[in-house]
Amino acid sequence: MFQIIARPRKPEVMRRLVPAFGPAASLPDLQSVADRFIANAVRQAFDDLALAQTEGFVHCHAFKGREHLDAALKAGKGVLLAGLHWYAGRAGNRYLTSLGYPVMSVRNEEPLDKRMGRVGRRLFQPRYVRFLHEVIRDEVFIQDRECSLKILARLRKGGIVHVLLDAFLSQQNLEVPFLGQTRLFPAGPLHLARISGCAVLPMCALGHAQALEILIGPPLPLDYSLDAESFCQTHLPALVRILESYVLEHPDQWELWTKL
Amino acid sequence: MTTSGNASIVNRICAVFVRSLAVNVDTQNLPVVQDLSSVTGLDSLAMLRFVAGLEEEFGVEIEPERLNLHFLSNLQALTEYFAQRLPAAPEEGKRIP
Repeated sequence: MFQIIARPRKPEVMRRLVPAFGPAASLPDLQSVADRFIANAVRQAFDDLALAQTEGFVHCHAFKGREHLDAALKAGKGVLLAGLHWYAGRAGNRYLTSLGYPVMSVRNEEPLDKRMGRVGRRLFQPRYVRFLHEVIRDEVFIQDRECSLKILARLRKGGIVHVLLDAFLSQQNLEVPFLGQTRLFPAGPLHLARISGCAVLPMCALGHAQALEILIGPPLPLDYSLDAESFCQTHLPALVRILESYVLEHPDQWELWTKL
Repeated sequence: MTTSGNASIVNRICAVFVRSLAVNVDTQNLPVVQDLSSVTGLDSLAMLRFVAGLEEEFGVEIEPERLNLHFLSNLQALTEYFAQRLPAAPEEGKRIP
């Protein structure tokens, strides 16, 4: 059923892959990426169903960069894990939590999905958001007026917060080059980093819940002498460049090709 | 802290509030408002700017337990908090020559 739903997305994905990879990429290669993209979408749906009901469902094959997370936590100012919509993102967070790294996720309670239509948004979306709560559990919604305060409080307690940089989760967004075009990225996470002094670690979760691979990069070098606006304008593109390199390396793992 | 000291803190909080929101609010009216969250435009990011501004202004880091809308939008609670956290200044007329 999920294959049937996801299949029409393939041509849409292909259209976006071509400018991102440039003329050097061959058509069969891009088609293969699009096929794996669809397969991962299906796999994610089954993973969510299992994660909502099962503890200890996640099996991680490789956890690279754990030393960066440990060092950042040791500094005691909290950690902002900056990722994108990876298909295995939710499984990744559940795995980190099971290891003793509780992760708070920042979510959108009312994501705009035009394919759903008005009725779908009204009837299906609230149920889906509630269902995802069973998968994610530790979360804060951007619609919450205290959202940024809750994140800041968690960071000040030395905790971990996971933000999705490809979501419009902030009142302030900056245009940044990304995958052959420019796209808006939220500045809010960088404001939080500046105020809290937390470490910002780029993160990537690959595979699926039964064969997970987590990659955490070294902390983003941050210049705290800059004022708030310059801080965001300098560091956001640098962070996006790192995440873009992850997408180009693992294109079938990024969920939002169709929303690029 | 004296009454005049508290009044000065109120003024400083209000100035930070207006700066962080970047909206057209008359600071003279804010002490009457008391509940800062009732001011239009106070979204999540503005709240963050407000916290950063307060910490910069008073040189104090607000504890995680106090990072909530209930506390941060209460002008009286904020004034009392900063009055307690700031080092006591010698009162006017009692200064040692």
